[in-house]
Order: sequence, then structure tokens, then C-alpha cells
Amino acid sequence: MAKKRYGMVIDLHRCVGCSACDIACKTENNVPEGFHWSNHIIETSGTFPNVRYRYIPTLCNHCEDAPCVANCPTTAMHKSEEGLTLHDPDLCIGCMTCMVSCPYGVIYRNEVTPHAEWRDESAAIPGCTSSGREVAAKSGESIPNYNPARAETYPGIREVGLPEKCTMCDHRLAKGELPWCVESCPAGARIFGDLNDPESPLSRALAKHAPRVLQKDKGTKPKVFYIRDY
Amino acid sequence: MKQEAREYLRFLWRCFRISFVGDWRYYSWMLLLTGVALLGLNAYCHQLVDGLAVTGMTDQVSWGLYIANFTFLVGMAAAAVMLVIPVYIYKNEELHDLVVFGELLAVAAIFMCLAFVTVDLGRPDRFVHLLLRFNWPISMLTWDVIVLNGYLLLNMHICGYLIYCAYRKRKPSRIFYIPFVFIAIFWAVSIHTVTAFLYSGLGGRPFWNSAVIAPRFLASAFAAGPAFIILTLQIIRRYTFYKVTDEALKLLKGIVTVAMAINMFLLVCEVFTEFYTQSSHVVSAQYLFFGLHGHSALVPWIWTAVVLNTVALVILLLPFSRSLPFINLACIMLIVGIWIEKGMGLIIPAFIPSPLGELVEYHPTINETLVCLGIWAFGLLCYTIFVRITIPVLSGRLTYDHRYRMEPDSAGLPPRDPASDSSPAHP
Repeated sequence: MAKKRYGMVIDLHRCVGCSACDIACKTENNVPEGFHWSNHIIETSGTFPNVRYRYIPTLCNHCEDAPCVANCPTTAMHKSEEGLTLHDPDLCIGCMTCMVSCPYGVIYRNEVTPHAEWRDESAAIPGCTSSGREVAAKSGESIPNYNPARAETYPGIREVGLPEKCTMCDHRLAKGELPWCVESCPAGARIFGDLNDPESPLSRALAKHAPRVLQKDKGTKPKVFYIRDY
Repeated sequence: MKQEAREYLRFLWRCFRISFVGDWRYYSWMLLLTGVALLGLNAYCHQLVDGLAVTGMTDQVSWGLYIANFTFLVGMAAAAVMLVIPVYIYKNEELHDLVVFGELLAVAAIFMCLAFVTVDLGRPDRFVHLLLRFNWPISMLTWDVIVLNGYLLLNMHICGYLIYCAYRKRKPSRIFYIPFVFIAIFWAVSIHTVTAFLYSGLGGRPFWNSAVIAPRFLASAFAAGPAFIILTLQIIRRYTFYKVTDEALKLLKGIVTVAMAINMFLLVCEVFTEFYTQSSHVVSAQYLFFGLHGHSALVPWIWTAVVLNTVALVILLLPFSRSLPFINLACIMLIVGIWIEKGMGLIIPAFIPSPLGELVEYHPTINETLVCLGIWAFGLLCYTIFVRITIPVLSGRLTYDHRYRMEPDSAGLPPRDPASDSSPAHP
């Protein structure tokens, strides 16, 4: 059997622009405040009343010719066997060249400051509900950059001071599950699968519609495709 | 062999001792630099504790003042070659005794460069990973590591060998330094070219995708570096006995003028290509020169640089710049202008707007600025010490059989030799 080569199709015609993927990614990967591994672009065009609104979900494109991988001086940013672009924090020196070289702006720098909510002393209803700090202490999760879900398969603590990015939920893929943004899309707009398997729903969708990629002219060969229109 | 090693250690010890000898101007200058360097060290300790969050860099603008200064200083280091070429290829006599000051500037500038990239790392404690998994030859960053450290070693070898030979009153053996001098000429071009390729190879930043970046880097470096050396030589001939002729300064001035003219020409080429075609990639240049959607933090900086560079070039071209104070003025304007152009004008606008179209401006924090000032102070401290050691050794006043003694009348600096001081500008 041929090696797997993961890819994703985002069906913009099905997408309802609810940002559930962004929130799903945040909860699954415990992504800190201020940045989103799963993100979106909003484009508005025209003048009122003839206006058009477009919503384009974005994430790491796991490019075939990834400039972040090429430019990384220590091979911390690397391609996995399944074609995912992954970041090995143990090798990273934090030079931020990957962030600079990414044409999609999907690599973020993780800083020491944890979620403000973890430190929040004020209660929503004073004297009635608990504060964020109390909840965090009660739940026993004191490490700000800890991914409890990821810890089931891979190291769960993310290093501070280093860049990080979408992993396509490789910890879930290792268990035979789909990425959490795919699972949690209410409209079923995200199709994840194996590009090498012509029978996979992904390959069928790619064959049926004319797929587009973001910034094709950069020559990075992204593996996140967009079909139809929002 | 053992005797030789002991002699070398004594040489190092004497160099160390003599760097503490000088007059009140020397002491106050060194005290100032030490103070600023320590302030910078303190600021860097804050950054080590709290991470790069204490800098003004964000996810959108992920390289800032550190890399900007780094880029400028790579140019300063490469500029030593502008003294080496006249001396070793065109056999220029005037510059022959001065070439070592250019090479020492290269050493000090590379020290600063290495410090600037180190402070830019999010995890400097992981630095060793660079050696464990060296992504060569794919990553341009690894090329930069090789060329910068190689250039540092080459220059340290050349200067160290020549100075030590002068100390031992030996004639330097040509086989030990001439080949390295010629390697260093090519290497100097390579350090700036590789740094330019590092930027222009990043497809995600259209502002840098220009073939003119590498030539323009070299042109501006060959203007700013010799300008700095002119200022150094002016100070040396004003306050020491070391002989610096007017002709040497005039030659350097000529180099600065030509390099600066080429730099301005390349600027015009770049501006024309960007703005005449008005392609979608012009946004960063638009932001830099005119501001974009009400964001215009860099506009005053870049126009200051353009004005400073133009006025400096005009001063250098006009006849009255034959008088030396005007050269000094032009050199200072030119160094400041190119520093702005390389830093604020080249690194930061490439990030604005970000690939997602976000307009996030960059404002350096005080902590970040203090780290930069600290590194500059450290580099100037190194350069001052190098020059302080070199002058008595090369002029034969400090040799293995003659210990340098403080002259009581001028507190360490021997009386100036009237024969070497023929400039009417400095009576």
C-alpha cells in the first residue's frame, strides 16, 4: 500500500462562517490568547447595498515545498512521513525564520504569558461564581501550555519562547481519529483524507470540483485546497 | 616552543594592561561605554527571564530592531575589504599602515552581529541544536552562520598575525597572511550577499523579493563602513602620534562617494520599479514611504534617511568637501542615514502588512532599545581596545624588548609627532 499523504479540502459552499473550527482548535490544542492555529480571513467587497462578504477559513497549508522547512537552520521544522509540516520544539532555537518565511502567516510565537483567564481573580457574578484562577486551581491544570488531549499520544507540554503552528492534530491521527476542526465543523465543510488514495472522499472532492489554493504564485504547493465559493 | 608560548602569553598580558592606560578622555569614553553595556546586559537578563514578550516584536512583525542592527553591522564588517583591495591589489602606499584598522573594525562588527542574532533567539539556551542538526545547504541561515564565523576567524588571524609580528619585530611571512587576505576579499563580499539572499529568498515577503537587494547591501556597506573608518582615523590622528596622511583620507572619501552614488542610484531603481508599475506588491513600499491607511510610523524615518543620504552625497561631491571637517559631517550623516535605511527602511516594512493583510505597526520597547545600545557599546568598547593596543604596537613603541611606559606629561598618550600632523584643518 502506498504511503499516506494527508491533505484537506475546505468546501466554501458548505462553510457557514461560524468560526467553530477556530474555537475547536483552541480547545483541543489549548492555543493561547492572541493567536489562532486555525484562523480565517474575512473579505468584504462592493459598496452598500451591493456588497459581498466572504469568509475563508485558514490554517497551516502543510505545503509540499514548505519555505519554513527549507529555511529552518536546525531542521526543527520538518516534513513528516505523511507529508505534514511539523515543528519539533526540542530542536528549535527560536530564530523565528519560519515565521518570516511563511507566506500565509500561520506560524506564531508562543510567549510565557498564559491565558489571562487562568489568572483572572474576578468572578462573573461576585460572591456566587468562582473566578478563573479558582477554577484552574480546582481542575488541577496548572501548566499554561499543556495540551491534555495531545499528551495521550505525544508530549503535551509546549515550550515557551518558540514558534508553533497547526499540527493537523497529529496526536488524533495517531489514534486513527480526524483532526478536531474537521470533526467539529457543523456544516461538514472540511474534508480530511489521503491524497494518495483515489477512492478517499478527499480525492473525489478534488476531482469533482476545480480546487484552488491560497497564494499559488508562491510555489509552495499547499495541501489545503478550497473548492466552490462561499 | 615553550618559550614562544610564554612570549605569546606575555604579549596578551601586555595588551590587556595597555587597554587600561590612557588620558581622561579615554577613561571617560570607556567608562561611558562600560556603563551602557552593563545597562544592556541588565535589559537582556530581563528578556531572558520574561522571553521575547518584553520586546516590541509580535507575531506579525517577528523581526525588529535586533535584526535591523545586525543587517547594518554585517555591512560594516564587509567594508574592511574597501581598505584591503587598494592595499593588496593596487599596492596603495598611503593606506598600507591603516588597513589593519579596517580589519579590526570587521572583527568588532562581527562580535556585534553575533550578539544581535543571539539576543533575537527565543531560546538561546538551545543554541547548541544549531550544531547538532545543521540544515546545510538548504537553509540560508546556516550559510550565514558559516560565512560570518569564517570571516571573523579570517580577520582575527590576519590582524593577530600582523600585530604579533610587529610586537616581535619580525617581518611577517607572506605565506602566512597573503593567501588569507585574498580569501577574505571574496569572503567579505559573501557575508553581505548571503545576508541579502537570506531576505530575498523568503517568498512570503514580496518587499524583499528584489534582485537589487544584494548589490544595494554591498553599495551601502561600502559607503557606511569606510565612512566609519574615516571618522576613526580622524580621531586617531587628532589624539595620537600615529601617522595618517591626508591622501589616505581623500582616497577613502573617494570610495565613500562612489559607493554612496551607486547606493542612491539603486534606491532610485527600486523606487521606480515599485511605484511606476503599481503592482499589488507595492503596499509595503507604500507603507514605508507614504503610510498606509493612516499607519505611518516609518514615514518620518525613511525621509530623514533619504535627506541625510542625499545631503551627504552632495557635500561629498562638491569641492568644499576637500576640507576635512566637511568630510566628518558627511560621514556622520551618511552612517545615520544608512543605518535608518537598512533597519527601519528594509527589515520592518517587509512585515507590514502581514501575509493575512493585517496592519500591525512595530514599536520597539525600552528594554529592546537598551539591549541594542548595550551591544553597540560593547562593540565600540572592543574596537576602542583593539585600536588602543594596535597603535603602540604597530608604531614600534610596544615590542617584546621594549615595555611601553606612560609619559608623565600627557597621561599615557605620548606627545604627538609634529611631522605627522600637516593637515591645515587640524592645526
